Amino acid sequence: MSIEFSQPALVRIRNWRWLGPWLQLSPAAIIYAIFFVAPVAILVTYSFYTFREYNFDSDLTFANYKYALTNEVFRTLFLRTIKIATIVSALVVLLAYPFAWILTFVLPKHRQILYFLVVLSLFGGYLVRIYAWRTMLGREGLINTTLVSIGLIDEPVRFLLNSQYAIVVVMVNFLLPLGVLPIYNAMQNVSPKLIDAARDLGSGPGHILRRIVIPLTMRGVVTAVAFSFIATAAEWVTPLLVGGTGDQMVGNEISYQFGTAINWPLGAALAITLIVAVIAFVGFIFGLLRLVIK
Amino acid sequence: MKRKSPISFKNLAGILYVGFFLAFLFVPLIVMILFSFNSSPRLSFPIHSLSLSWYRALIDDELFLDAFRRTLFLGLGTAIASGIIGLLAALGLVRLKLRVRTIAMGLAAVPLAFPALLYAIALAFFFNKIGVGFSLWTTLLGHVILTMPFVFLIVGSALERFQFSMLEAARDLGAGPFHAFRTITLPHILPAVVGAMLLAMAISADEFVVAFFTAGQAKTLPMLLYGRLNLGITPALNAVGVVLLVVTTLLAALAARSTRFQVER
Amino acid sequence: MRRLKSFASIAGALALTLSLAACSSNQDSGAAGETAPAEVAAQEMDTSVCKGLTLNFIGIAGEEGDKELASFRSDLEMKLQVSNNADWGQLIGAIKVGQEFDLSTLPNAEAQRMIATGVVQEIDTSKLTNWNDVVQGLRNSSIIRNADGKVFGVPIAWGDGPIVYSTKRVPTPPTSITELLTPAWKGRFTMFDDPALPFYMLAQSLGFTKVPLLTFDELNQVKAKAKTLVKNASAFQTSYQDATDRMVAGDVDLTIGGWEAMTAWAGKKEVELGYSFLKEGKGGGWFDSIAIPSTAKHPECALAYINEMISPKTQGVVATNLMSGATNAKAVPLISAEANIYDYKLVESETPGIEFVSFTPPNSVPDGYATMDDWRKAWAQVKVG
Repeated sequence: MSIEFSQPALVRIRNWRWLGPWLQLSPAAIIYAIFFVAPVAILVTYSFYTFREYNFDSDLTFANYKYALTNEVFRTLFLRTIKIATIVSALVVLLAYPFAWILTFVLPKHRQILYFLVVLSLFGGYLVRIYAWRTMLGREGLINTTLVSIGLIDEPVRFLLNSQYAIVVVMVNFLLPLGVLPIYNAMQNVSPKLIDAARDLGSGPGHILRRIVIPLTMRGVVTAVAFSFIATAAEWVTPLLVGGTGDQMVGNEISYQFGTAINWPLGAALAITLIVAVIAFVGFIFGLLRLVIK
Repeated sequence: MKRKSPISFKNLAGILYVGFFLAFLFVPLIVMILFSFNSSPRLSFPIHSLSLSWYRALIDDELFLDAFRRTLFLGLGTAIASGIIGLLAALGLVRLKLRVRTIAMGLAAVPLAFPALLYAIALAFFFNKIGVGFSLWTTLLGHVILTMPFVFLIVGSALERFQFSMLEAARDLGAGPFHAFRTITLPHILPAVVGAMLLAMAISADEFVVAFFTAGQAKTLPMLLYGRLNLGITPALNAVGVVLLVVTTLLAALAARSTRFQVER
Repeated sequence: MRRLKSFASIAGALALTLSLAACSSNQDSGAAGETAPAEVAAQEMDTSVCKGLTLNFIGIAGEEGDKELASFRSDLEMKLQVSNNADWGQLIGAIKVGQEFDLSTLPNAEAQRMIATGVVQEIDTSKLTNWNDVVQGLRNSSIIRNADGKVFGVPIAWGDGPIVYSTKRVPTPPTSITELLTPAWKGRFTMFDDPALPFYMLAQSLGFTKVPLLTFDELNQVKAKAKTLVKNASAFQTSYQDATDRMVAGDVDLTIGGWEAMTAWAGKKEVELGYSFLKEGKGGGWFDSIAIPSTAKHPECALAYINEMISPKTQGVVATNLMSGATNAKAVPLISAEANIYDYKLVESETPGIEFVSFTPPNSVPDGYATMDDWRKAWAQVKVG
């Protein structure tokens, strides 16, 4: 099933003209322009201001961006954030893909309810869930007490909490359903008949996976990677609550500049730098994946 | 030599994986639910006895009830608004050229790439500048922006695999455009639409940062929760979380039910 | 999140006993302008402006009079909406974008900035009938005033800076900050994400007695030690309650950013915590004030509410509940025995205008010494190791 389909046929149907596609797009576009583009534009303008003497000095300057690009503290945080975001998004895709596969091809009869369960797990709430993880990963938490009682370890394991492991576990737990959604939806594009045909023609499972299923579900994979990466890169609540003193991420710095430091221009510049870098990185991953698949 | 694995083994492996996967997703929720019944105010094991006292306290808690109502309103409003707008947009988009589509989808994803804190402040600032007071409505707009991309992308991909040939056939047989949409297109993409709307509701119900900056005094449940978390964690907060979970789950179940009914028809 | 920055304690002098009667009789006749005795003066505040209103508070949990003023509110059919937020940045940000709050915590750390940027409005202390009963050391503080001496915040609680620890896991509490730099303490304690306390105490331990005035060389040495301290710490606590919860859950054993009230909170969760003092931090203290944001919808009612907050009766209950010091000396006999642990000589002074020792550099420092900005930059470098 290719994506370029029936377009000419559609255009030929005369009576659809009244539902001009642009008309349909317009409510979304208008709301988007007023309540997203405009506020962001204001903030971008702010990123060129400076914060001096308790006031915002509106002489335009690149000073904030210079800070973002040259300050070594920011760079350390940035690299650490990229590292964590990469690990998280890789794990999300690696775990979600088989799940989507199993739902589509191995247990297709139960896929609706299983999919529903996955969506359900999103409703648990964010903050309370992080605290639930704290009780599980802590020194006297569920995991440690279980491991100690069955004798696998003598002493509780300390690195589970207040560490980057904790951040990764919590983020993966939170983002996994969001990763399953696009991959699963994309996988519905793959017709079982196609796989059967390939198998009949002698293709092994690895080959089927690499040449047929993955390319067709690429869109979903990229979406999952992008979501997870971006969400993790901007995180500040999770490192705050389950990270250690050396695990702060860029989001914490941005939050600090917007908050305690009231240096909104710098905060805006840092955030925009982050967004641009993250999008570039995701684009790079996308290109890389494309190459690998070819 | 390729050995064909017996079907039952593949199923077993699949079931195991699915089992562990779902367990991982649900364990924190189960822990949260469990502790909401803990009679002691501690949130650590062991749990000595169970009690409903935290829930009973919620019934008298006016601030909680107000926040709960507001969150429900916001969630439903967001789901409906971004559902309709996103659906319309996806419908319009699918008939455009691929290049335009890709660009539009990219643009639509930008709000998702935006750090919530930054957007929250930008939005609050914006409303402040144009002189609009903070309320649930301003938060609703913020939530619609946050959830519209999801609806757009999910419904969009559902539309892409929709076989327009069926639609053509219906039209050839004389169906009017709207009728054709309603009876042919809509049932096929309804699961995706409903799924996206549920997602929107879930996101809105749990959203804190944008709400904090734009809801003003109309405190939503996450705002209340965050404020109380600063007071120290007690099972009372878990009880709040469980209530939210139960209500959103019920709504989701209802929606899923009606979806299946429609498709089967 | 109240952090131990720029606090209030009388430099050096530590007196011995509470001479309560002496101070209160000092204050009694000090009610300038009002000739009526104290009880009648309280009634002269027109609380009817509050009838049927809802006030909005943002700030530290426990300092909004939620429990303490419940009957005051029900008598006036008032409601209090509370936004517990100890993140000063969010607090300031919320007010700056126009959110309407009638009452706000005024943390010492940000007080001057909040006053200078117009986040809080002037308080007409002549309208507060209880103002003159506020202990002198706090009442005369310049932290709550602008350059012209106008008052912008009313002190409602004060205290000292103990460390708090789990008695089960820490049989003998440490006596010096240098102990926390050793491997024995790795991953066992928390602290606030704030340079004031660590820098101050480490500077003291290195013998830099002029702190908070530090030369750049001294600051670098403090930085080096601070890196070890931060690496040794388990996590940054986001609030006093957060630190308590972590100790109750058994994840950490001690916090250097402590508050006596934590022992009461943990007690409710059946965990025993104790408090003590490090020699480098003893004598340091803090005080919190309440202010009226510039976006207040009901400033007159807010004023009446604040007046009620510093009344002897309310201060007695607040001090008991928070285990902090009362700012109205008349409240001391009303505080419970276990909460009455402060030395009020620290905040009463014959000499007006004596300020508490600050942990952080003042707004202007002599040449060659590090500014607060330098401290913040240094802290950012300490955290990334």
